[in-house]
Amino acid sequence: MFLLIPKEAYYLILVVALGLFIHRLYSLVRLLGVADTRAEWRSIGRRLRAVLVYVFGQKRLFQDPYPGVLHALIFWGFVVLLFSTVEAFGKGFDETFSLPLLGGNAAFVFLSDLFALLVVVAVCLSAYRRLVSRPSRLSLSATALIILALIFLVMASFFTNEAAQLSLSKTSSWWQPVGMALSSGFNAWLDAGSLSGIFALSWWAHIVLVLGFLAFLTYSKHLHILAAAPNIFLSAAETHPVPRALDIARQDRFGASRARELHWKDKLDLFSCTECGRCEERCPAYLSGKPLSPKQLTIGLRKDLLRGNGRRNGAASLAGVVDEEAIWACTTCGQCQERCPVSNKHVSKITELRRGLTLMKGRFPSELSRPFQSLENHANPWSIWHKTRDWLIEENRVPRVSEENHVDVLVFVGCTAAFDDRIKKVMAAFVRVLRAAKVDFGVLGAEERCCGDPARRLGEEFLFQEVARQNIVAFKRMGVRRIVTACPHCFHVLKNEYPQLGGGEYEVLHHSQFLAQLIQAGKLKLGDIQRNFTFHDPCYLGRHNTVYDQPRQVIASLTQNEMLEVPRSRSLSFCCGGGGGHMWMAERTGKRLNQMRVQEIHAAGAETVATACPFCLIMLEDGLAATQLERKLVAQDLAELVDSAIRE
Amino acid sequence: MKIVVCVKQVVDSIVPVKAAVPPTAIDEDDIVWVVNPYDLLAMEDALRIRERFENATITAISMGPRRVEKGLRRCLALGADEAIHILDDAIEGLDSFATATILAGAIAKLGFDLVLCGARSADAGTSNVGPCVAELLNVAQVTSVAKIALAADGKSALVERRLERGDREAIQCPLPAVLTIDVGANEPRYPTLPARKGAATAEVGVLDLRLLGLQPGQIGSDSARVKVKNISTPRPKARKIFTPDSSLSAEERIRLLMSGGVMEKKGDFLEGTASKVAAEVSEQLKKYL
Repeated sequence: MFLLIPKEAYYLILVVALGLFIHRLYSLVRLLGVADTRAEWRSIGRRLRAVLVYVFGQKRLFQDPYPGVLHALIFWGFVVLLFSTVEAFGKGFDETFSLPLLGGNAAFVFLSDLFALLVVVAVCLSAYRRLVSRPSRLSLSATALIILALIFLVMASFFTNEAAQLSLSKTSSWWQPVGMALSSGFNAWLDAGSLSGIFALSWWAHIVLVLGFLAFLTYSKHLHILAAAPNIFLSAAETHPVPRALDIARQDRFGASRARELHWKDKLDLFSCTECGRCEERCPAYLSGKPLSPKQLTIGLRKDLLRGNGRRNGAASLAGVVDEEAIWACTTCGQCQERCPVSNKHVSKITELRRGLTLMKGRFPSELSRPFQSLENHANPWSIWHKTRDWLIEENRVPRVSEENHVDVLVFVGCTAAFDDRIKKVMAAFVRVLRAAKVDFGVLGAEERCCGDPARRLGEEFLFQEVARQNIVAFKRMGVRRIVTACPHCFHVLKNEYPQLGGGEYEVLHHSQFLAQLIQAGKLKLGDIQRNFTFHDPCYLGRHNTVYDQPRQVIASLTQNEMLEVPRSRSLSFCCGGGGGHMWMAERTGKRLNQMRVQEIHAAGAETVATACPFCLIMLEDGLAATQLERKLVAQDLAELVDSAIRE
Repeated sequence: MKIVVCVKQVVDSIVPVKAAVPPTAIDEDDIVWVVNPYDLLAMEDALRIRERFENATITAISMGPRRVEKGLRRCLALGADEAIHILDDAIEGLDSFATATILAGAIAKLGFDLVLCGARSADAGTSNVGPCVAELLNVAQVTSVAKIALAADGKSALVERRLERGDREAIQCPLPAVLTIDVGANEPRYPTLPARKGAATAEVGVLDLRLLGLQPGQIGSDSARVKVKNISTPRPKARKIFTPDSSLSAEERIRLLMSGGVMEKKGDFLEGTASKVAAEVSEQLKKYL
C-alpha cells in the first residue's frame, strides 16, 4: 500500500488542508462584501460567451503573442491535468480508483502527458523571461518565481509517479511518451523496491505540492486563478462601462476613500489582478512620466483592502499605497481596461476615488475650483455667460427648439462648441453641412446645459446630476427624439449615462455617424480633397463606444487617396490628454501627451489629421504649435472637412 | 471665542450688467448672484481659527432679499455653526453706512469676539462697511488683512496687512476687533456633499429691523447719505498712442512705453502720517460742502 500511513491520517490531512483553503477563501469573499447581485444575472448569454472567449480562449493574452502562448499552455495544461489530479487524490482513498470515462482512456492519458510536458517547457521559458529578459511591465516578483517553481515540481512529481507506475506494472504505453522515456531510465537503474518507494514518495509529493499550491494561491496574486473567471463573467454585460449611479438624497457616504469602500465588483477586480502590467504598458499617463500606473494603483488598493483598518498592520488612509497625484493624473482614456486579460475596470476605481476626494473632502487640484464654480453658477465649465450659447441662433439663424417648435434632429452643441472660438468654427461648418443635406434640425440655445462630463470624470457627481437633470427635463419638454452631437464626451454621457437619471428615450448619434449616414443616403455631393489624411480616434468615440469605422467612411468619401493609419490607432489610439477633466487641469510633470501624439502622427506621414472631438482638436493644435509642426501637419474636424468638400 | 462673519451676495462678474429703468439701480433680470469672494476668504480664515480654538463658534450674517439665503446656506455648508438673515422690506437702496448700521446692530445683539468680513465687495467695491461697523461697535479694526495669527489666549491677534506691491505690514491688534480680509495664503475650501445636504435643510435665523430695534425711517433709501443718481455703461475713451522720442536710448523708450507715457501730475501732493493727511484732506473737502 503506497500511502505509508493510515488512511485516516490521509483523510485528516485533506480535511485540514482543504479546510484552511476554504476558510481563507471565505474570509476573502467576506472582504468583498457582495450585495445586490440582481444586475449580474442579466445577459447570461453574453456573459457565458465572454468566459468562453476570454478564459478558455485566452483572447486578450494573445495580443502579446509570445507570453500569450506561454500562459495559454500553462492554463490549458491546468485544465487538462485537473482531471488526473482528481484521480491522484482519489487513489488515496482507493488504490484502484480511476475516473469514469476518462480513467485509462488512451486519448486522455496522452493529452495529460503532452500538456504536462508543454507546461514544463512553458514554465521554464517563463522563468527565463522573468529572470533574464526582464520585460519592463513585469516587476521582479518572488511570488511569481515561487509559483513557477511549484508548478514545475508538481509536473515533475506527476511524471515521476507516472514513470514509476509504468515501471512497476511493467507496462509499455505508447500513449504516454514522456512517462515511457522516464520509465526506461528507471528500469535501467532502479529495482522494484526502490520503484515502490519512488511511486509512494512521488504520489505524496504530488498531493502535498497541490495542496500547498492551493494554499499559496490564496495569499498571492495567483488568486486570479479563482477570481478571473467570475470577474470576466461579471464584467461582460457592460458594453460601455459607466460610473455607478449615486443616490445623493439617500446616501451619506460618496465614493471611496479606502479600498473597502469600493463596490464589491471593483474589489473582485483587485483579487483578479495578476500584476501582468499590460495596463501600465499602454497607459498614456504612465508613458508620459506621470506618477500613475494602473497596475500599481490596483496593487496598492489590494494591499489596503487586505491590511484591514487598525488592529495589527492597519492604516488610517490610502497614504503610502496610493498616490493622490496618481488619482488625478488619469485621463480616463480606457486603454488599461481594453487590454486587461481579466477584464478589470480601472477607470471605475479612479472615479470612485475622485468622488471620495471631491465630494467627501473637497480636495482636488486647486485649478478645478474655477470650472466647478462655473458649472454651479453658469451650467458650463468655461466661466462664460450662458446666454452666449444663443450665438448659433442669433448669428447663424439656426432654429431654436422649444415646446412649440419641435424638430427632427436636436443638435446638442456642447460647451466647447458654444464658447471656444476655434470650435465655434467647427459648429458653424457642421450647421452648413446640415443645411446642405436639408436636415430638419435645431438647437436649445441658452436652455442647453453642460452635458456634465467634466464634473462626473472629476468626481463632482452633485454638479453632474444638477446639469444632467436640467437637460433631461428640457429634452422631455421639447419632445426630443433624436440627438446629434459633435463631441464624443457629450455623446457618451447622453447615450450611456443619462439613462441612470431617467433620460434615454431618444436616439443619440455622434456627428461622424450622422455624417456617414447622410453621405451613404446620397444627401451630400462631395468633391475630392487632394490630401493625405489620417484619423486620430478619440478615446470617447473609439474605445469607450467602439465607433471606429464611420469616421473612416466619412474620410473615404472625401478623398480618392488611401487613408493612412497611425501605428496606435483604433482601440490602440493614444489619448490626446484632454479627457478625464484634464482640459481644465495643469499638466505639471513629465512630457505633454498632446505633443507626444502629434509627433507620432507626423511621423506616420500624414498632412492632415482628421479629428472628431473638440478636446482632441484643441489639444492637437496646441501640440502642433508647441512642437512647431504647424506648417507640416494640419488638424481639422470631420465637419470642417465635409463642409469644405461640398459641391453644389 | 465667538466669530461673526459678514457675507454679501455680489453680481458674478461674467454676466454683463445693464442699468434698470429708471437707471438708479442695475437690472436684476438674468443676474447670477454669488457669495462675495472676499467674504469667502473671511469664512476660510474663520474656519481655520476654529480648527485651532476648540470652543470657537462661527456665525454667518447677511442682509437683503430672499436670495441672500443661498449664500448663507453656502456658509453653513462650509462649516458655519449658525446663519442669520436680516430680512426686511425696508432694506432697499441702502448705502454702506446704512448697511453697516444694521449689521453693527445685529452683531452687537449677538455678541462677538471677532468680526471678519471681506475687504471689499467684488461689485460695488467701496470697502466702507468693515471700517464703519468697527467704528459703530467701537472696537479696533485692521483692513486688508492677509494673515491672522491669534494669540493662544484669544485676546489679541498679530495680523499682516497687505500694502502695495507685495509689502506687508505687521500689526498687533487687541480683541474684540473687526478685521477685513483680503487675498492671502489661504484658499477658500470647497464644501463637501454631506455638508451641502445638511446645509440645505438647516435652520437659518431671520431677523427684521424691528427685532434689531431700528425704525424703518432710520434706514432706507430716503435717509441714505449716499444716493445713486445714475448708472450707465462707460464709453471707452479714445486712447492716444504714446510715441517716445527717438533720440532717447532703447531702454528709456521701453521704460516710457511700459509706464504708459509720462504725464504731468496736476494738483497738490500731500505727504505725512495718516492722521495728518486725513486732516488736510477733510479740510479740502469741506470747501465742496
